[in-house]
Amino acid sequence: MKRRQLMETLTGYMFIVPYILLFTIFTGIPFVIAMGLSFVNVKYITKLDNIQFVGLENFVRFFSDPDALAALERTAIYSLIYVPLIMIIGFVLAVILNKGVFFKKTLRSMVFLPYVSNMVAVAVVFRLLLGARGPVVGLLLKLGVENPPILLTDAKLVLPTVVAIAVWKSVGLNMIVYLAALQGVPKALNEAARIDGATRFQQIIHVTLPVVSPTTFFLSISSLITSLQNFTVIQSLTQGGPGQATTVMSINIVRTAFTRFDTSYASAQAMVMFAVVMLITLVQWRGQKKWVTY
Amino acid sequence: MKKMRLLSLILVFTMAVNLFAGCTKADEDNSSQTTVDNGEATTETENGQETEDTSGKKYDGVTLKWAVTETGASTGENVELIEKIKEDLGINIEFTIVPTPKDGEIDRTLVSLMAGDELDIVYSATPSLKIYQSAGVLTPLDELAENMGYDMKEVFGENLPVFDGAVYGLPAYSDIWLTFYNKKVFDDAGVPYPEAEGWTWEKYIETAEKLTDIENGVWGSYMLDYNNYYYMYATQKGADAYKADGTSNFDDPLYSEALKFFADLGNEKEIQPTMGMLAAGEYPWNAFAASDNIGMFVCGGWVTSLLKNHEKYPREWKAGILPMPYPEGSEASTLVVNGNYAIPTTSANKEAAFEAVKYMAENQYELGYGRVPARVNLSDEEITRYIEEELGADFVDDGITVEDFRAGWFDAERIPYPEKIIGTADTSINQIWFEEAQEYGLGIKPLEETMQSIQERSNRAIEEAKQ
Repeated sequence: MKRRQLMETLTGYMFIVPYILLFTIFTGIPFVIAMGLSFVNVKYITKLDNIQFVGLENFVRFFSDPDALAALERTAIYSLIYVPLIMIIGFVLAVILNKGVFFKKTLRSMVFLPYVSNMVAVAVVFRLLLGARGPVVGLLLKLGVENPPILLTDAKLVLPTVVAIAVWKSVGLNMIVYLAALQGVPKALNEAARIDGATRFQQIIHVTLPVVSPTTFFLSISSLITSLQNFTVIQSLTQGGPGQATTVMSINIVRTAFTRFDTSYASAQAMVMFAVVMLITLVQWRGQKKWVTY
Repeated sequence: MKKMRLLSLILVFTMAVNLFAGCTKADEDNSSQTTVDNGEATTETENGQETEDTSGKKYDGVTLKWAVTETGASTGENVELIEKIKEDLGINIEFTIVPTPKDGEIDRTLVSLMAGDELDIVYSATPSLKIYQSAGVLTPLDELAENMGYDMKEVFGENLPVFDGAVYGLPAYSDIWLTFYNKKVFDDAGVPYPEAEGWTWEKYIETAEKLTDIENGVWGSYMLDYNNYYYMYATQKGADAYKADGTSNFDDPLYSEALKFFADLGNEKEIQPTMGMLAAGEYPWNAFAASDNIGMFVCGGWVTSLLKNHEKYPREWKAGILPMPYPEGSEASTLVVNGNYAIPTTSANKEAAFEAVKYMAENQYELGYGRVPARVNLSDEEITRYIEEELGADFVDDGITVEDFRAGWFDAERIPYPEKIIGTADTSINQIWFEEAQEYGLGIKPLEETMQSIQERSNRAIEEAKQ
């Protein structure tokens, strides 16, 4: 290797060293510790010299714990609603705002604004909007709806409501990424399709979507991961309630660790969650060959 | 090209500096064990060893470590207290700063103690003290008290934190539950102010019904949705959260009665916000002090600190206080949570620590910070003087009398029950109560199913806690 090449390589590595260091300290090491904890019996109130290796006991306990399984189910429901919604809405908004519409820049900013807003402030606003004395209930009453639902305290509607708010807050990012991808769609392809008689909708399905499929693949994985990192949204909107209606895995893990002080069991739950995400990501990765066009 | 290389190196260097600068800042923020001197000129003594008694003070010159947060170390009350101890007992107390845990973080003092750090004094509310005791980091005080001929029961009565049959701390303050009321709401409704004598829940409800004017946004009653509200009625009727065999006792009909009692106040009787409104967070914890349309508020004595803060909570109405209501047919009672001083197992000089803790618990209220002492052996004269000079001074304009304070805070006949459930898996059980009661209050589950679920989940939590 030439000296110049060596220097360039070293410079490259030096650029990534800070990230690797931070990742190791704040993600890698905690992950290894959490994995270790999941195989022992550490409780917050366990004397350190009483720690024992318990093998898979914490994992067995997870699969016979109705509260944890219910939280897993709610997490799945959350993701199943969140991921398709944010993908579709993000794409549709990008397509609309990519073309000539009035106030394009203003509209883009409006869609992106919630993404950079503080979640706690957003939660306060939505609690006021959707509360028993809020404008939404008031409007429904005026429209003649008897006993209008209070969305954040209705056990059946609260989870979809929280997902909808989360989508509203984060869809701006998907829209921006799709907008960037749309810039890369060759005009000639659309032009050719149009000359062949394709409608606008057909152009989107047969030309635009295949071309932006790598972006769709990236966003589908990142949106799935975002959907599982839902602690802040739920904690600030409903604290996992009413009852346990929005107690998803992330909330249950934090409660197990810091309310019930069951550190090892919480770590085991986190490992299960990690395994589920890994599995889904691997399936997506394998599946991409069939639908992602490079 | 050389310029590019130089630029690259500068960028990498900048990133690295930022990285380590961030680490340094974090280190500073999390400096976990900094010992701060209290400002007194101290004589170097080996901790844990009694020095020669030259002043008539048995522990003169001994140095003890008191675990406090950074705020606690700069609080005038604590600084004055350690100066007074130095003056009266000769014991030198140093603050050991323990970072305040942020939301979701574990208690750093407990972590320190479990790791074996030497500390002589800790301060904690009774429920948190139970966690310390469960972790095996607290010294039972019975033997120390006996050796010193000190009758803890005589001084602190039922306020002592007793876990598994032993005393684990000496209480300095009592946060006793009271009824706070807005005199303007009473005046507007033409309802006479209630009296402390025979102030039962039945009378409370009757009064609240007269005060409530939903159309004008006036609630006669207000309570929060803290978990203990859901079972307080059973507690006041003498129900115990645990059976003799250690399992949960929530199949006792008193508990379902208690849950229904609380939910009905809003949902059925409509004298306070419904469970739905409480769950939606429409009424915050400080709503009584911050608004002028709530007639009565049953809560812990800490509410007085809001009422006397006219800057943060300006009000044009006058406040009144009454004892906490109790169920008709039962003995007068209230809920209470105490703040206690305790001695960790890691203390190197437990006798001196006990002497200091005893002094702090008995005398701290005299420093003049308007706190309610947990002592039960104060004479009438002492109580009257304290109320007139300390507690009542901030409420002269409200017309709250010495007798009002006495009835609410210093009624030795009133049974003090622990504010929250304390025992095996208590934190889990309190969480279970919150979740399940909310589901019942919102109509998600019927009462019978709710109580069954509370019973089953609590028993499961107890079993898990024992493993």
